[in-house]
Amino acid sequence: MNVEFAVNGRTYRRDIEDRRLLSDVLRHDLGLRGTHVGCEHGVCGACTVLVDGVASRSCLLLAVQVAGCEILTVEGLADPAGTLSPLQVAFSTHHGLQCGFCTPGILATATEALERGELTSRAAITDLLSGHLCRCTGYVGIIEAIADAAGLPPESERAL
Amino acid sequence: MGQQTQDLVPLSGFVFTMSEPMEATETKPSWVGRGITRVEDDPLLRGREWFIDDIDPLPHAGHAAIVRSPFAHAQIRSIDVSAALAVDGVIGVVTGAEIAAITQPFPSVLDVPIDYRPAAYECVRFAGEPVAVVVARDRYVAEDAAALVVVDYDPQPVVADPASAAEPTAIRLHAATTSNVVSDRTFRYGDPEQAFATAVLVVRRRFRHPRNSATPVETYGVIANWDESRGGVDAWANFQGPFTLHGVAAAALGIPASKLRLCTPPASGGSYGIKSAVFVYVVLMAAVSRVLGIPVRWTEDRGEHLLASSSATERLTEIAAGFDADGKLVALDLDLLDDVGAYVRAPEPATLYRMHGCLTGAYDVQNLAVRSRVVVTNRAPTGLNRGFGGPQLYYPLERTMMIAAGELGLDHAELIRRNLVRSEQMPYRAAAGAIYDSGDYLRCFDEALELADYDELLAFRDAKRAQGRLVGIGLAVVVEPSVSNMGYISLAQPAEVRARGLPKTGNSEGVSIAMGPHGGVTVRFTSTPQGQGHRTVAAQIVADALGVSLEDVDVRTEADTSANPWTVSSGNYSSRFSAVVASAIHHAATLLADRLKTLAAHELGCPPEAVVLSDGKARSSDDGERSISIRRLAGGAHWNPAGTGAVGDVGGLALTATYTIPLPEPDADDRCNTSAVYGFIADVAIVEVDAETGQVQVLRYATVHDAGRILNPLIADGQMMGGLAHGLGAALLEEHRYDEDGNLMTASFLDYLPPTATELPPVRHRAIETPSPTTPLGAKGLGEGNTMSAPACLANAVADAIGIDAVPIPLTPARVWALLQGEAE
Amino acid sequence: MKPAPLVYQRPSTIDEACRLLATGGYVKVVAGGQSLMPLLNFRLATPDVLVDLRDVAGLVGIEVTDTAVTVGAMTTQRALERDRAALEACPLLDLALPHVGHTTTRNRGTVGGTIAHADPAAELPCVLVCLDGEAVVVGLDGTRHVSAAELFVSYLTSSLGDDEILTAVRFPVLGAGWHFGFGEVAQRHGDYAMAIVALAVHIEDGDVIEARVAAGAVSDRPIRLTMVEAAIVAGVPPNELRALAAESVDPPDSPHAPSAYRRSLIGTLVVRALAEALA
Repeated sequence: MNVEFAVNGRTYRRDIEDRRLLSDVLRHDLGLRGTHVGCEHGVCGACTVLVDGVASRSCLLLAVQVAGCEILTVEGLADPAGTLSPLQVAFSTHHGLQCGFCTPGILATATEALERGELTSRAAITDLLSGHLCRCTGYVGIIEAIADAAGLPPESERAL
Repeated sequence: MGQQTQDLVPLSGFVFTMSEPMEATETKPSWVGRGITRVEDDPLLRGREWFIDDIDPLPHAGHAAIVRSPFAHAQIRSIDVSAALAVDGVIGVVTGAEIAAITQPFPSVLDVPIDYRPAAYECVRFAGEPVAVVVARDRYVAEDAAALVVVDYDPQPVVADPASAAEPTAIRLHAATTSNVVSDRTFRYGDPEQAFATAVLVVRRRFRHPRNSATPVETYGVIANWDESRGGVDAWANFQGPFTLHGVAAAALGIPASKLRLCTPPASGGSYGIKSAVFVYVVLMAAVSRVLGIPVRWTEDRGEHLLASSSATERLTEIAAGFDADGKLVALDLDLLDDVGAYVRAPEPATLYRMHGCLTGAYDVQNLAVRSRVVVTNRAPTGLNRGFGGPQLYYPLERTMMIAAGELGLDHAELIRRNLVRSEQMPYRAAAGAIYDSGDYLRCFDEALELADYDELLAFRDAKRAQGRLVGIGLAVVVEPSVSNMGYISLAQPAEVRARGLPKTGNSEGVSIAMGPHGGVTVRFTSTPQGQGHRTVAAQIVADALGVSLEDVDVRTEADTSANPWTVSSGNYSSRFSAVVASAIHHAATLLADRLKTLAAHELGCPPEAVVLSDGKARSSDDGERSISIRRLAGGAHWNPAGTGAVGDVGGLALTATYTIPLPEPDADDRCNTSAVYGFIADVAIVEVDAETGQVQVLRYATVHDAGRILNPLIADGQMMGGLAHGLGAALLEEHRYDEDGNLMTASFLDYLPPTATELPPVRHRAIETPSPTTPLGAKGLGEGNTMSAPACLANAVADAIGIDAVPIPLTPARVWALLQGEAE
Repeated sequence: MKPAPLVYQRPSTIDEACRLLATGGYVKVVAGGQSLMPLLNFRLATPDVLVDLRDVAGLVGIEVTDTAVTVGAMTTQRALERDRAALEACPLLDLALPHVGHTTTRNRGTVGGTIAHADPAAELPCVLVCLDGEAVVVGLDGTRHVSAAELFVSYLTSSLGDDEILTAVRFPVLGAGWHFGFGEVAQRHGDYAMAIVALAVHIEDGDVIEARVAAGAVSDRPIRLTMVEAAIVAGVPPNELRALAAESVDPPDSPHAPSAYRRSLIGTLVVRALAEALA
């Protein structure tokens, strides 16, 4: 099926087999390898991208379904001059990534939530993160990075 | 590298307490010891890093899909590939029989007649075992065709658990063997019989450590090409070592190891041991490439990964611990049975022996009896998994100590204190041969109690119990070995058999380092990192040794066995980076620094020993005014070697050096210093169990590590937290469950459940730094730590909460609920 | 793990969509795809034709009246979660939605999709059964309203005809005097539940005069526990209620949750949901 959609501000027109997953089209047809595939059944969250501003698992979308949509992938998070977003910088500062494989999906999810102003507590951040698997960090650095980007103050440990 | 990489990371005040960045003790600030952010981060954050599925080193490779057995045990009567071949876009279908014809069985340290190939050809022995490979123009088409391969199976009786597989009457998996128990060794140190005879208390228990897996978010991937004219293979895989397996793969391919060029991409999406087993698929895809005459690539999917990649062994332990009237542990008896799956895939049975030298854990006891058995079952082969042998040991040992404390009427903490190896005993020779190099276990343990606010925990527990709530406290102390002695695996053979073979003591790493004409430094080694920040720490070490800035050091870690320095023990396992790889980096950089000092001495007119390298300059310590830039020294060495003395022994500014920690081979009495250095961890946890739902909530977790000198506290903290998350998952959630027919019941991420952010407890963490006398930087490994300790600690806490001794892991809600109903497993 | 070959269709009217469904063969409707697409990727479902409702007009929106919250089938769970008026009118939705998967799956997962998918371990079907809601269903023969009791037939099976499409879901607004409780136990936050209870009680002068209790994940469909409802109205004490609730279900075994455990969970969740409603 012939479809047209935009990724990171660039318009693509492609003839795509109906069954082809968006994750595969991004990675293998458009060369946007930053979107990673970890489970292909919508659990790990590594392939999450923004579709019209909404964080979505790209392994659970056929590419033909996003015809007419604007997609933002990890490659599009830095500004046009290449400066990393505050969220990206915070991930490095707080060691929120180790192997970095799950990172692009988490960045996508957190980017949307930050823009919507929904991250008003660390509990909101952990709830948001529950849709993503990270096997390296134990999530601590990720939570701190997102909290930093959300401007949350340090939180004291909850009482027993 | 931007400015941000040099900033110290601010301390966090939230749920965990970061260790303080180490103060530089020298007058010039040292890069080593500082929690600088990582050079690895930038490309990862931009989505510009290269993982295995991103690279295309051999254009026009065919895409493989693997046909796998749905049966755990069956004879293959026939395979019909005609319908698959008829699919448009299919390049070829290769069956297990075709692969068997051009491969050799994988070699094993065990001398048993097991014919293990990368694909089954007459008999399948686990569900998910490959039986054929379809190659097509893309993965979609390959999967279409794979569904059309018709295999006629004759199902056979299944032995799907280690206890029944070990029965003498059990159906044998491999006809040429005499038993499914393919290795059975006994060991005796000190006088355990006498010690048990005098003990006032002997605690005997059985434990089962389940199969589980670190399940890296990136699955396996391989690209392979058979080079007909060279008679060799070029392969790329997200392999993590140990490079012993490179030789195993070459042997299976029937080629000299020098003709297997094995490379890794720049990045790997986590491994924690699991990706060591990708070598089997390197062989499989290389063989398929040989048959089809084209390069072949394969990226495992999650279903395949859970079904058939690798996992920790299931271990059944029978433990007996004898105590004297003072609560002193006087003897230990361990009967260990490891289920390695359908084949003994290298490096198994290493899970049994990795911890052998330190089987007595953190306790001072010299009387030890051990029986170590390996059993094959109709389940997927096992292998490295974070902690490797540690969780299997410490869950029984630490549970037993807690049970003994109860029976002795002692506080658990007090029993631990009475038995810990003392600092004045260091270096301490453990019963089975480990030499604990350094540490103050008692202080570390007391700091853990203090960090946890143990008294507050006790008061809280008692107050809640008075209200009828189920609150419990758990403790665990573990010795964390790092840098494996390659000789340990030969403990699987009796001493007289070992004596006939090549002695093994390897642990070396090689490092290439070169300074270019403008003073830039390139460093390369084969530690195959998967997120541990090796490039950052290497740059810190090199910058310190050469007196250059971090930006001047470019570190590459992608493996290439045709280009990199590497040894048989290379790779990323047994937490070997900070102890031996870092030592090798330090060693190579120091040798290069010596050359620079010689060149500088020539220019400055002082002895080389008087030259100091710092801030990009070489200075004479005799006369601080005189200096020459390192960039100029490098330029001279490249452009004017004769005039600058960069000839003869001084040589150029490129060198390769190998570093080895001297270790003995196992002795005739089976004593073995199985690892080079030993750290220590003390954990304290408090949990509440919901009596009605069985749900376990971890209210606080405190852990104190002594891993020697910390090279980068930011990265070290990340490793510790990651290890703890694995340990927590193993304690509460994760298990590869099989039914009695050998079907995996947890074959998707809907059923195999790693912890998510909402499952992680509040953690308090502290690092104590007792420098190791064994390594030049004083560092020990630390990547596995809490994976070893947390299952034991949390099992102890739950046992304390519910007042039941036999607590099987993982402690899922349904299991805990069943225990509360009085149902024992 | 790639979908088998299929033909993708994106009709722009409901009539066109129904006609596509009526052509015969294996045709599946995709809404948000958060449950269906994993089945396609695993090739557990291999439809010949996939009908995407994205372009069909009139399927997105939330209407709140005194009697019902009517949610267009293609409205995302996240949109409903953000609609304060809907959540205030129907508090059970407010209690249940945070348990539905994760933020990113609710971003795309639709209210109509989760109802039509008819997973007995899903939260919103259980809520719909508890509230005696209904689905608006359109087929070639016109529109019909299907009550929750008649909608869910078995595992992943609804009573929709081959040519029918679920276009809206009506969650009744029970009004003043009604109080709600919701509880589930899952292995991890956001996982498929091992047991779910959705509960509504009508309180007048301090007495429960009507109760509605639905249980999920314990049968082939979400079910009403009518004996438990009667017991609540009769003022049966918690321990008896717990036992009664546990005895009123006969859940299947699953790898993570044996039948006896699920049964017990229903007892616990009923007691806790009632306490929540009465608090």
